[in-house]
Amino acid sequence: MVCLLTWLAVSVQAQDRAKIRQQERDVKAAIVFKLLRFVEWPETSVLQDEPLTLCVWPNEPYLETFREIQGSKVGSHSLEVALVNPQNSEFCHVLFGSREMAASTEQWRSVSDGKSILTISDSNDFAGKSGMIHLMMRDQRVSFAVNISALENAGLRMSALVLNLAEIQSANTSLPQIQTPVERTNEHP
Amino acid sequence: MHRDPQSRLRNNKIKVQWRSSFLFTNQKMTMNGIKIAFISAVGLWHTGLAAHSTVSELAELSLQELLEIRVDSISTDQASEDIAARWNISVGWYSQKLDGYRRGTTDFSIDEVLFEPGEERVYHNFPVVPTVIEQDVFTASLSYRHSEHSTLSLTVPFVRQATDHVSSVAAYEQFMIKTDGIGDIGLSWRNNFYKDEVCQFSIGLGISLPTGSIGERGDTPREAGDQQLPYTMQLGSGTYDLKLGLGMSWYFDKWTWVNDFGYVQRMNRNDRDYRLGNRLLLSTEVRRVINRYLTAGIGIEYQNSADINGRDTEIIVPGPFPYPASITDPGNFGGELIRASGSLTLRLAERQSALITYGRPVYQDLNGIQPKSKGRISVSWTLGF
Repeated sequence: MVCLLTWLAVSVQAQDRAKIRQQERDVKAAIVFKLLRFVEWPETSVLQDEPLTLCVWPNEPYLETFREIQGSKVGSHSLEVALVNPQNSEFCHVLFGSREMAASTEQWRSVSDGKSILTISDSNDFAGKSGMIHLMMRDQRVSFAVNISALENAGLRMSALVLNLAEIQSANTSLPQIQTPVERTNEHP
Repeated sequence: MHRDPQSRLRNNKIKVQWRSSFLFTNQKMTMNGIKIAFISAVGLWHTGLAAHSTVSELAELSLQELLEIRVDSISTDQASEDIAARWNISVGWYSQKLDGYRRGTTDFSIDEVLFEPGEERVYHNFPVVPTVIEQDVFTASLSYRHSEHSTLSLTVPFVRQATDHVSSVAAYEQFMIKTDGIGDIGLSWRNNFYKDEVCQFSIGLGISLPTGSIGERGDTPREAGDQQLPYTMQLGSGTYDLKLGLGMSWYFDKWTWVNDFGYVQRMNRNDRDYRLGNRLLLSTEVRRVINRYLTAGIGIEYQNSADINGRDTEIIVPGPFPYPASITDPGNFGGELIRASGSLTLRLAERQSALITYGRPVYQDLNGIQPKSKGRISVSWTLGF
């Protein structure tokens, strides 16, 4: 009976946790979708009525979440979701990488440098590291910071209406890494 | 007028539920219907915790409404590790004390272990008896997360040891020996080979290099001048030691349950013809996030280590009792130990934290007669960048 109750409690906690994580993803993905409406790409980058392509890294946990809103309209464009390939990223208009992907600055640059690609992430201090839009948690709500110079460098423009909602704040602190099991045995003598 | 976005979504859900119960009433609820209603109510109570809306539903809200939605982020624990730094430096201090004697599970006093002239010399009394052994290890570590799941670490320890002795040898009734220097440098690799919403499994492989001295010398009653010191006063093992670790963590809301398995396999004998015992370690710890700055944990660990294989012939004396002190007998090492511990993790600033751990043995079953382990404290500071 005790085992059954423990199993039940553990399984309920696990479900809650998965739900909380998915809820966070859903809200962030919806915010990303909304933000796209307020961004202007150079005319040569995305033609009228052409799809707007949102690229994500392979294995990106947000992939399925974004696919749920694939086909939705962003102005005159319909949203497409695709996997990014550093060798061929010309078709990307937006690049999203979550903190779970932990992509390096070099990886971001290999895809977006010299192109009009809007970069968005919820990684720590993304906007401060030449990323364009940083999604972050503040008082249990999602907020975002915008790196205007990075946007301008890529030839992108964002509506002042949205910039009024943006803010800059320090990113969340992180817990130390879990101690390596090997390290725990590294005692003397 | 602004409407609360969560209540807007909730209202839509309530309308659907109300419609369902109305249909139920119209169909004259049977006993099975009541059961289904009860199960549904429990289910709704549970799923209602998250009041979850899909991304398509959310996409219908305005940006301003989306920014007002309360999200129970999991950023206090597992998600924080997702955004772990690429490089970490860590400095630490670890101190333990050995005081008093034990054979198996029986305690012995210093007087019982000290051999005085006129007494019968037996295998468990000695002319020289270390009374208190204090070991401090200062560590500096550098780790590099070379991929999403894998981390390489280098740890350099500096070891400082001091042992108080009493003896029945004239002119050495009480004396202290100290040694210090670089210990065995450790290299390790950790891979988080499985990770989902509720658990994480990791494997660690490591090697410690024989950089710590095994030729430490000091003045002992054995003879005049400096001589080779016993095993406990050496700074390293003198062997390449392989290390295997397995880590399993489960996350339940603000709680984390951490389980570790570690094993140290000593390779061959060292230049002084002995090798320290292999060691097995199992530990379990429960941690709770108190607030964004503090995490507290309590745990218990089990250690099983073997005695020393071979012996250093320079620290023995001729005659029927070759061991002048218990710590010179390779059979008086190792055994089983269970230790209870408590820990506090403090988040000091962005990617900067401190960990304080205190542990005390609650059970010791020791091989031969040897000094008992007492309290152990460790403090470390980590900075990610």
